[in-house]
Amino acid sequence: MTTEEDVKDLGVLSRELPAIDLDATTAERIARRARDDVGKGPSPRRFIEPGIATLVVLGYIAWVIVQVLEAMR
Amino acid sequence: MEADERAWVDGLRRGEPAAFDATFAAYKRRIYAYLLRMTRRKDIAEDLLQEAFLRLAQSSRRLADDTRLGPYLFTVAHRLVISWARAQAVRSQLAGDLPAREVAGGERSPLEALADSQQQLALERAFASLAPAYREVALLVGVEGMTPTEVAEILGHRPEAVRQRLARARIQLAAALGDHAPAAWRTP
Repeated sequence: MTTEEDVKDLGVLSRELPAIDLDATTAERIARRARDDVGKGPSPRRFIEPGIATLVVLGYIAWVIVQVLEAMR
Repeated sequence: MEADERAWVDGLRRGEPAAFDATFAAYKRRIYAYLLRMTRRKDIAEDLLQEAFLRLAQSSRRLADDTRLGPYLFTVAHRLVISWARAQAVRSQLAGDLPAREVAGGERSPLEALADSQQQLALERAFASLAPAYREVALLVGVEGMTPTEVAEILGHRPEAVRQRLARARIQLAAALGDHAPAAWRTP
């Protein structure tokens, strides 16, 4: 069978699948939550965790450097 | 791109909630159906639907003016499904021999419960039996009416790879459907 025949037959077959819909309450909850973020960009909270991790790693590296320098004296 | 969709993209780029509402109304059912058939979990499909539209809302000002919302949303949804599947795999490994949460024998899954005929039930079960990579291609082509080239863009694969998956999906569906398969798919 060709791809075109596969596409056509799958289309015909898929029309028989049961219809799926989202209940109105859930849809409204999801829409309301996302609508509040339109045009605002990602929340600043998503940068907090990487920021803390970066500070911890930099602090550790600084501590290691200090220890190495002290050992070399 | 249709005029309506162009207006929605323009509105989203300006941060207009009305443009978001129109986009949500137009695509919520399609994206939800895709997510539900890929995850087979109503709660997960709802969570991923919310995340998909959150990402659209949060990146609305950065949308290109020629953005096609359908492919954009299905690409986001596809990536969310991949992330969820990876997290599931890690969780399964950590859980070791604990029994997986499955629908008990004889009980209908939420998707199967929607079927109101034997044909629909057989079809839903046949799609559910496909490997996720094949199911995804079959859904995007069959239900969404996308071409293999459009699906390849969404999945980030070569069109040839999508055609191969499509052919394998058709073979597996024919085997799973048995007498319910289209006549042309049945081996003589």
